[in-house]
Amino acid sequence: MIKIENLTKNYGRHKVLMGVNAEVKEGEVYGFIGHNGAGKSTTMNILAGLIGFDKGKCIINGRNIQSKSNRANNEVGYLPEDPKFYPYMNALEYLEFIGSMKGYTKKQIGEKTEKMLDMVKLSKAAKRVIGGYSRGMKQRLGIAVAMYNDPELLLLDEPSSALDPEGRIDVVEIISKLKSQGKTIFLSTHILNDIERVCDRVGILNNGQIVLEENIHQLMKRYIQPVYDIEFDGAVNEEQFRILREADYVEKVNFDGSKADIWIRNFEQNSTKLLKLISDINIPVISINLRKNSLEEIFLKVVK
Amino acid sequence: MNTFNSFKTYVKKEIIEGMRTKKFLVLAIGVLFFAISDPIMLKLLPEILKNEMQGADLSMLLELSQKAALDSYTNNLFQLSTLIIVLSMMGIISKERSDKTLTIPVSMGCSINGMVSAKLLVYGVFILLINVVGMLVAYYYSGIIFGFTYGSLFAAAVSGAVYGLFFVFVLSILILASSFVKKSFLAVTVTLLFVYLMPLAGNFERVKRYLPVNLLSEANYFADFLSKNMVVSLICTIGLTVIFSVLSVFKLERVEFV
Repeated sequence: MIKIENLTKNYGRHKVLMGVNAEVKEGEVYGFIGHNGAGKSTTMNILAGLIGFDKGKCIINGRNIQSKSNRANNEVGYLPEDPKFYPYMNALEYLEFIGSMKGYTKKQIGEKTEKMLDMVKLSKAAKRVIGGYSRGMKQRLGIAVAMYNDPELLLLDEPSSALDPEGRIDVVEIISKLKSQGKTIFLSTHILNDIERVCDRVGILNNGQIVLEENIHQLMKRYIQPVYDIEFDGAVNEEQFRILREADYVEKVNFDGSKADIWIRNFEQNSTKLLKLISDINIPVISINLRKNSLEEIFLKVVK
Repeated sequence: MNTFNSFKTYVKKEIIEGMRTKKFLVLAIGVLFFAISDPIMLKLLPEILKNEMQGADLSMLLELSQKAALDSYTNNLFQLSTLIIVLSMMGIISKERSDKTLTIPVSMGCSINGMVSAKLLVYGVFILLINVVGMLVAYYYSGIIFGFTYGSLFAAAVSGAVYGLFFVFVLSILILASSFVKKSFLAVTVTLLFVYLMPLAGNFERVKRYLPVNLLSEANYFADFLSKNMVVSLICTIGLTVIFSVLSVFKLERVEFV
C-alpha cells in the first residue's frame, strides 16, 4: 500500500528526513513513532501530498507521488496533527462543503455526512459552530473528514495527542473500528500505549531514519526480559531457596521475604523447567509474572 | 469531479464566510457611510463654521453644490474606503494560510484556482454592487439637499461601477501580495503603498491613461458616456486584475499549506 524508499527532506540546511525506508501493507495499522521533531509530521505531510521531498521514492498504491498529478486524493484520507476548520461553519456545513468539493450529489452528501457524524459521535453537535468545539471534538471531526471519501488508506498524525483520557479512548475506539473494516492506517503518535493497543507493526523514526521496523508482537517478544516475578504464599525456607538458586539455568535470584525475582538463561528453553521446578519443590504460589518491557522502554532503548 | 459544482461550493463557502464574519457588513458600512454622511456634512459645515468665523463670507470659501458633495464623497472613497476595504479583506488568503484552514481541503484535492476565483468573484461582485448603490445614494441624497445640478442618475451608476471595478483591482493586488507573504499586515502594507503611490505615476502623461487610478479621475466627471481615456484605463484595469489573479493562483499552487 505504502512504500517509502530512501526519503530525504531538507528545510534549508536542516535535514529532517535522511533516507527513510518503510513499508505498510494493505489492511495493516502501522505505528510511526519518534521523538517530537523527529520528522513524523513531515513524512505524513509528504504522504498526504501537501509538501514535496528532495530525494527518494514515495509510492502509494503503486503510484509515485513525487508528481502532483499522481497524488491520489481520493484514495488517501488525512488527519493533520492539529486539524483546522472554518470556525464559523458547523460540522454539518463543513462535511457538506467537503462532499460538494469532491463532487458528490446532494443525496450522497446527505447520506455520507449523516454516516460520518454518527461514526464519530458528533450527530448531536452537528449544528454547533466548530469554533466552539473542544479539541477532542475537532479531532473526531477531522477523522470524519479523512474518512469522507471512504479511502483505503488513512494517514493519522497524532490523533490522540493533547486529548483528555476520555477523548483519547474515543479516538482509539474509532481507529480500532476502522481497523476492523480493513482500512490501512498509517498512525503517527508518541503515545505508545495507543500503538500497543491498535497497531500491527511499528516503525521507530530517529535522527531522520527508521531505526527499527517490526511486527509489534514479535518486537515485544524480542524485548521480553528473562525475569519471573513470583510471590509465594509465605516465606521460602533455606532448602527451597538453595534448590532454586542451584538450578543450572537460573542466573540470579533475588529474595525479599515471600517475593522472588528469578533471572533465567536461555529463556525460551528453560522457562517451563523453572515452572516445573517451583511445582516440584512444593511452594504455594500466589502470583507469577513474566516481566515485560513496555513499548516505551523498548523505544527508549532503541533510540539511545 | 464536476468542476462547476466544485466552483459553486467555493462560492457558497465565501458567501457564508462573508456573512458570518461580518465582512459584507464592514464593506457596506465602509462605502455607504460616506455616501450618507458627506452630503449632510457639507450642508451643515457653514452652520458649524459660522460660530468660529464670525463675519466671514463663507460662500466664498465653500462651494455648496451637488458637485462639491459628490467630490467630497469620491475623495473619501479613494482615501478612506480603500483603507477600510483593504483592512477588512486583509485575511482573504493570509488568514487561511496562517490559520492552516486550507490544509484539509488541499489534502482532499481542493482547486486553488477555484478557490481564488470564488474569492474574487464573491467579494468583487459585492464591492461592485455596494459602490453602485453608494454612488446612487450619494447622488440622490446630495441632489435632494443641493438640487440636481450635476450629472445624472445613470452617470452616477456608471461612476459607482467604475469605482467598484477599481476596488476589485485593489482586491486582486491584496490577493497577490497575500500569496507571497503569510503575514496579513505585510500584504496590507504592500497593497496600500501600491494604491496610494499610484497617483504619483499619473504625473507622467504618457502612462497616465494606462493606470487603473486614472479610472477614478474619469469617473469623477459623471459623464453619461465612456470617454476614450476611460475605456483604455478600464481595459488596463481589467487586464491587470486578471494577470494578478493568474499570478496568485500560480504562486499559491506552489505554496505548502501546512
